[in-house]
Amino acid sequence: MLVIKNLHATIDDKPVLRGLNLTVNAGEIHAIMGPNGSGKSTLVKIIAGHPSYEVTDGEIIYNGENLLDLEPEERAQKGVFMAFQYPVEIPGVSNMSFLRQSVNAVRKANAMEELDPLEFDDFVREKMKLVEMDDEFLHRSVNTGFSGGEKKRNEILQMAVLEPKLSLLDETDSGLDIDALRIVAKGINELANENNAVLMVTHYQRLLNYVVPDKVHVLVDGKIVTSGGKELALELEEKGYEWVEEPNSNFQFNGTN
Amino acid sequence: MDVFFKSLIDKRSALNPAMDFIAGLRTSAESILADLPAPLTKHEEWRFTNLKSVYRQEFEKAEPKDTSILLEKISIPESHGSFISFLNGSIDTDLTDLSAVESSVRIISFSKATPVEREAILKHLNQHMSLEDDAFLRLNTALLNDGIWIDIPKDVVIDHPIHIRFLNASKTVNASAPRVLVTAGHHSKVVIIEESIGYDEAVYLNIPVLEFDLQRGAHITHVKIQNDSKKAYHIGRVGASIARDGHYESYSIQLGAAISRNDVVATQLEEQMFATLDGLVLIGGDQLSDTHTLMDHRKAYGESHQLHKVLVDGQATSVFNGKIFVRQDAQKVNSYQENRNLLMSTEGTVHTKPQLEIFADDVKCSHGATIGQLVPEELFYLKSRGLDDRSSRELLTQAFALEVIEHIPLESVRNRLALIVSEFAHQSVHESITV
Repeated sequence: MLVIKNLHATIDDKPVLRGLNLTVNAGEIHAIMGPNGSGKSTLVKIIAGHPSYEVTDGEIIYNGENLLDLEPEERAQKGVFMAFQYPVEIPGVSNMSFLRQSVNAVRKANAMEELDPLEFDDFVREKMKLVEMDDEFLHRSVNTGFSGGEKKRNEILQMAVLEPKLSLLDETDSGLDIDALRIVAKGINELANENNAVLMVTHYQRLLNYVVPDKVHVLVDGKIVTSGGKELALELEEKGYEWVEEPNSNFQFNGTN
Repeated sequence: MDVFFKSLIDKRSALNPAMDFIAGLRTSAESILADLPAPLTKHEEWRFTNLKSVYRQEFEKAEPKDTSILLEKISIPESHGSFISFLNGSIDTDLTDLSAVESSVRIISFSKATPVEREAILKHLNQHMSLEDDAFLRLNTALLNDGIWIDIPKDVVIDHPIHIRFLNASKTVNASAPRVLVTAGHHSKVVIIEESIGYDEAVYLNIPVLEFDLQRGAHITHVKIQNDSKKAYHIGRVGASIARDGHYESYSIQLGAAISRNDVVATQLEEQMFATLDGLVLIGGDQLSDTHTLMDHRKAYGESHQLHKVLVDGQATSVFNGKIFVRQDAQKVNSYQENRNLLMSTEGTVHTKPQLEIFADDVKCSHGATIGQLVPEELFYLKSRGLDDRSSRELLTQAFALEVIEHIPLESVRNRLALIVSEFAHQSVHESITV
């Protein structure tokens, strides 16, 4: 589904990714871990099309198409979704109307009939059960005055209604208490299936207790230095990132990359 | 006296005999005006608002013309049977219908007042805003020939919002000086919509003055929609004095006029009250819109909120001066002011000046002002949800403005304003993409 080859990127002429390779297949859940500033969030933002980054080399192929040729909204319309670490507040626009506009923009781009408010109402209420949200959320302005946990649940609700093929979760677990983490994780697990893929960026192993990844990659200094199964995350938690940052680490090429 | 004031006063209508009781007020306004210079940009309160084009204009007596097109644009279904019209500054009884208003509420024109009522009117006029040196308040008074008094007895809650319509439709270039006084008794409640409108290309001067007296526990929501012709001049004054437990909510929406200036003065007279002085300004082309507000906390335990939002397109200029006075006796005041400006073009100008003067030592006051464009991170968020560039820009622009509108307690007004905002957003986004 997603093949990244030799990706180099900069922000304000400063290199942030330096030759990153990654392959994600349908039906897989991947976790990207790594120390602060290693380029984890950068990677998912670039896949989603964030305008602040410049790709200087390499390619991102998504379902056979060069993703870098597409605008962010075209990527979204083709099934790429990013859950933001810091979701944007949009005062004055109700969550309901925003969700419906998004869904209809994607449906329209895919030559599907748009949902009218009544149809959408049924559709969204079903999805809300996934993230245990009250109806009241639909009538509040998008993310405005939401707690950290509510914002993250709202991101997962958006993921649920947009039904993406590739979901990029940017530190969706950060700032969540254990109850909110469980709800968010349950949502991700229920949405994951053999036809889609999830790439989650996380700083902590904690999320991976609830959403079990097929593969774990460690990103250091803009490159994946090691990859492995879910046990790699536990090892990292125990030994810290210094362990993989060592150039002579035995584990450096032990992964499945 | 400045020639501009003099020419307007010379051309005013002779005083209606039934209005003799305000002759003294008119004369004293004239004598104050004689000593006041016409505001120029060298005066601090008018630094960015140049009125020379107003002063150069010759204003004639109004010759009314048909208003049906204007009336269609400003219909408010909730105010069916509770609206008052002024045409070119004079009360128009044919376009006034108060049949739905509770019979206990007194709504009269000054010229129909009984001797007792005259005294009450005189007691209130020009008492509810501290703009002593304000030439336009005095000019309105000097030109006063009639006005409306809305008097709500204690404990009366008016169900229908009262729509006060300042219609400007004259075959000549004219000046209007409408005047409204609202006195709200203890624990009474009313929603007042003040709306100015004129023909698209019409040139006129509109200087409305509204005063509100809130007795203890009175609750007034005042929505001002200034939708004057884009070639007109609007200089409005709003004053409210608020007694204990009073609740005054003011929403000023500035859409029209080549040059508009709106002053809102709210004064806390007793301990404990609540006031909101929100504003929304949508301007483009060569428009200039200037808002000056004063929240005057004179006593303790007051709370005031202010959110003033401005969208500037084209070469338009916005001016905001937000004064908050917290006097020595006004301990435990909680006051908040926020001015946010969104530049839709590269040629717009914004002047913003929060002005907090605090003389009490145990208060909570905050203020903030921002000037900016749409935030790339926010645009990216919307695009990452599948919305195209244009829809994303429109949505964020609308969201920016709707934050003010959503508090207006009238669905039809909210919807109408939302539509105006959406057209404004659509047009300015369209321009910025095609340029």
